[in-house]
Amino acid sequence: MLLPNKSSKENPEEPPPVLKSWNQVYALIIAVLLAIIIFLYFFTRHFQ
Amino acid sequence: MSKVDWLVLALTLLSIVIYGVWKSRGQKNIEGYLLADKKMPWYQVGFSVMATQASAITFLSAPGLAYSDGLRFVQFYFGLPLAMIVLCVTFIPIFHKLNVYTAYEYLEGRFDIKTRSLTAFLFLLQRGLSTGITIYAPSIILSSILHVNIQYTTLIMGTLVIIYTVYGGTKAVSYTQMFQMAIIFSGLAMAGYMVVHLLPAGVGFTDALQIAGKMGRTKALDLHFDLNNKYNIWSGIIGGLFLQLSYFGTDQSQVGRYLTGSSVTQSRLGLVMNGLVKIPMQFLILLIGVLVFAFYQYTAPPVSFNPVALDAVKASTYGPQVAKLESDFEAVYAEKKRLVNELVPALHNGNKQEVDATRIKLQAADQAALDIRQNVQTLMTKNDAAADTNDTNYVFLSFVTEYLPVGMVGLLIAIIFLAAMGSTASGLNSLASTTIVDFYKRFISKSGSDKHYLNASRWATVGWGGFCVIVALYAGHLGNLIEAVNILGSLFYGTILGIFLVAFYFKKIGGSAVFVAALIAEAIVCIVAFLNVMAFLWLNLLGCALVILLATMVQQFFHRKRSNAVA
Repeated sequence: MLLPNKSSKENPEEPPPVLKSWNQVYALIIAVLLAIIIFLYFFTRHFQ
Repeated sequence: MSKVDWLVLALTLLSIVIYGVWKSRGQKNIEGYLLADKKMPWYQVGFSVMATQASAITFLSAPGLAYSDGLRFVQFYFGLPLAMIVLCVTFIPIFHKLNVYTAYEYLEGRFDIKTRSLTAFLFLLQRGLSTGITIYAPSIILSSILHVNIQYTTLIMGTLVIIYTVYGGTKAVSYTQMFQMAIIFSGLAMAGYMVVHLLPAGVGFTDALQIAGKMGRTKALDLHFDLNNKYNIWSGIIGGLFLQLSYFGTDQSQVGRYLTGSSVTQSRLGLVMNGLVKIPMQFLILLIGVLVFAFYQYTAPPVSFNPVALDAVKASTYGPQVAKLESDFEAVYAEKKRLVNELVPALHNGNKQEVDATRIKLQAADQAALDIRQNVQTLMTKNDAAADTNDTNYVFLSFVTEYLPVGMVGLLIAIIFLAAMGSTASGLNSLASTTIVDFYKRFISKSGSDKHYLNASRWATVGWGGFCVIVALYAGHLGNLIEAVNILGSLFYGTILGIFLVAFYFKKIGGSAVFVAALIAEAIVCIVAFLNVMAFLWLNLLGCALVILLATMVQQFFHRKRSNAVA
């Protein structure tokens, strides 16, 4: 049962305010994750 | 605590609460109370999502976990950025398009009422227990500061959060969480600076990490695949992905946060922010715990950081044995300090041979200290089977109250309280939303006025608050709280996520098949968890995979039965 008394104001295809497309935003998230993992790899090696 | 600290604590808490209540004044309908009128910009969505996940437990238990176990817990969050992407692509557009109050409303349209009710029930069970644990964490602080029995402080803390949530609703939670996170970030940065500042002259930040690293506390990445290892890169990315996907995608305490976004774009950007910031933030919190560990190589730590449990066992018939163990612990500490004092110059001089030799001796001394601590914990349990022997929740608090300067103690304790209020308020709010929207409005009162549902939501918040306080009274026996919350979540999240994934991606599977599959999957997950067959993060993957697999099989079975009946 979906509630009727609510308003819809979305447009899923609206581009992101940064970068050209949502796919580029998602690629940035994955790139940052990879950079963090690489950083942690060298951090672990350096201090152990 | 000094008068200045009490003043800082009171002013910080009061100003945040007054601000939240002022911003949320004049709420007249259920959409305002539960979804903040869907007007939040992305940065408020992002801060709110982060503050909901970062409870007091994060700031109390995570540094303590790093103190005893090192940095490897950071791998737990590796799946989070990937989960944010899946949510942005699939979950957010669907939830916004359907204009739902709760994630479970969607399941009735896709499947049937019983599947919606089962999923909502599993959520209420899990979230009710978890929110109870989040109330317990700040009660530890109050108990330590006021020297009052923890049961009384749990009741005080629970009552305060219930009043705040009942009055303010989601708007108060969302508005205050942004400021909470700003204060939290600055407070933690100051705490990190102070730990390094309190180290002896000539010992810097990297020296502290080297010292901790030689005793195994800086291992942040483990590449080896091991199903029984709680934290490695594989359990973090795969198990963590399923846990975070389930938590952010199907747990109303989070869905309710990003549904407050004014559009799909604003909700998406809020989650993107969370995906980019969460791991570095968690790493820095853990790093503070590692620095505190290095600090305690130069300043004698207590044999247990839980003062109440330690005093109790000292006053018992085991007192002489504890005194002997304390004396042994002091001797081991003196030996460790001597070795650390040898290690730092060797590191500065680049004398690798001496560094290696000292490292081996340090590791042996550290193990001896751990063994003594373990023996004291055994005596605590012998003295009182119900004693809270795991002292990792007390490590950071003990450091803050004993060694930080006047004013900062009050600020850091305010931070922990703010975090507790943010996550507990979100939890109570989501419990009330689900109870009213998925059960009360659906089964009991289908055509009430907005005011009626608003009042019912407030009463539901009070009821769930009472339940969570009762859970909090028993939370002391669960060990490290940050692990306890995540283990509890992993028991249910996989099944709930499986139901949603079937709904999104397996269009031919119907409600009865997924309902039966979810019941069987949940039973199997509970049995596997009870038998301790695998590390808890994998339970999320197991539950999810079982629901999808079993639902496919049951659907085939129903299809064949129907075909035979027709023939």
